[in-house]
Amino acid sequence: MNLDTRPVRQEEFRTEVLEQEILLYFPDGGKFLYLNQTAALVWERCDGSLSAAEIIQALQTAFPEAAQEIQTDVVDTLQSFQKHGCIRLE
Amino acid sequence: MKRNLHFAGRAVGLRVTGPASCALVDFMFGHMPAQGRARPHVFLTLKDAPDDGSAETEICLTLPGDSQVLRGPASQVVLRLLTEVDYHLADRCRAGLYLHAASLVRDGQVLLMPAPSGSGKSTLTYWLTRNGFHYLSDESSFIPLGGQACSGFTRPTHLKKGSLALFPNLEDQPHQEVRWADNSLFGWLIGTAALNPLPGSAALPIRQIVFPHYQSGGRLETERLSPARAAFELAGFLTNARNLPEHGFPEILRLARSLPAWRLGYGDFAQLEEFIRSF
Repeated sequence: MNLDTRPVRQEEFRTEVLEQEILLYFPDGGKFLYLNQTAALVWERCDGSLSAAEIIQALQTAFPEAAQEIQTDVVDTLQSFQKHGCIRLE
Repeated sequence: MKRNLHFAGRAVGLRVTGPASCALVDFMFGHMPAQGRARPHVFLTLKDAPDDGSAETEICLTLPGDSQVLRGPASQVVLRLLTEVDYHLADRCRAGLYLHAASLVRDGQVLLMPAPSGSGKSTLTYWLTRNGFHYLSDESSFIPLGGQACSGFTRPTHLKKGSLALFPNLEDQPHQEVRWADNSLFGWLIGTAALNPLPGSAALPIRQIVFPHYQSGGRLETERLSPARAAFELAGFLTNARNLPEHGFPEILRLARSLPAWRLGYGDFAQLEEFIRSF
């Protein structure tokens, strides 16, 4: 994955925040996606203002104790979002 | 005999001719409400086949909308009959959540157990009925829009061949064999009379949602699910999502927010005794 690309949430997905986790609902296909706390943190930053690298950096700053795992987690999460069609990369 | 089967705000009509067909329908659906406000939107026909000298009377099951006829002894027709009735009740259900879930009752409150086919849901359901729970359904449960009460499609519970040995004296219970087309045994349907059923068909409040996972030799594992996870899991067992506003999304969220949900892993019924006490 190119870390310079900026992930942007697809607007069709409806987001419901439940105790720091998220349930996504895609009305066209009736698809649901569950985002745990880590994925929810990534999702909230997919507004097109940050590149993937900047999202990693922001989370590493917020959670320095988990800095090593964060890069892998963020990339995996973004790839999963992309696979499910809920973000586009610009 | 004419009989309408009412559940989840829908009805399926049965037109039944002959003693073997009538006996099968009585066994299968005798505990279901025959009265209700909905008019049947489909009809299934069962009739005894002409006597051709077979040891067992064969039954002809005609499916709705076409002339397709399934013919065979009760043991080979019964599962298709059950599947068709369940499918048609769910197919146009718009009044609430039609869930692929077992439901049982204790102390007037419902334990709702969504789980996939073949996961041991019916076996667990039967075991719970022998351990203090009343039976609503082993397969399909209904929660009306905006409500938190649950009712069940009360039908015989289906124990697969591998589960029969778990329960001693099962042959003493009312049952109907289920056989494949080659006549090999698939399982037994245990009659509702043996399942500690509740009288009537009232909807009762849900106390807990439990997603059971059986694994042979597995340990007891209980995990409280977050509302988001519970909602996601519940959505996977919603069989009439396409009929509901926003595919049932607001309703599933409402339930997940208001009801405790658990994942229950187990490898043996003895492990569940503590879980039962805590319900």
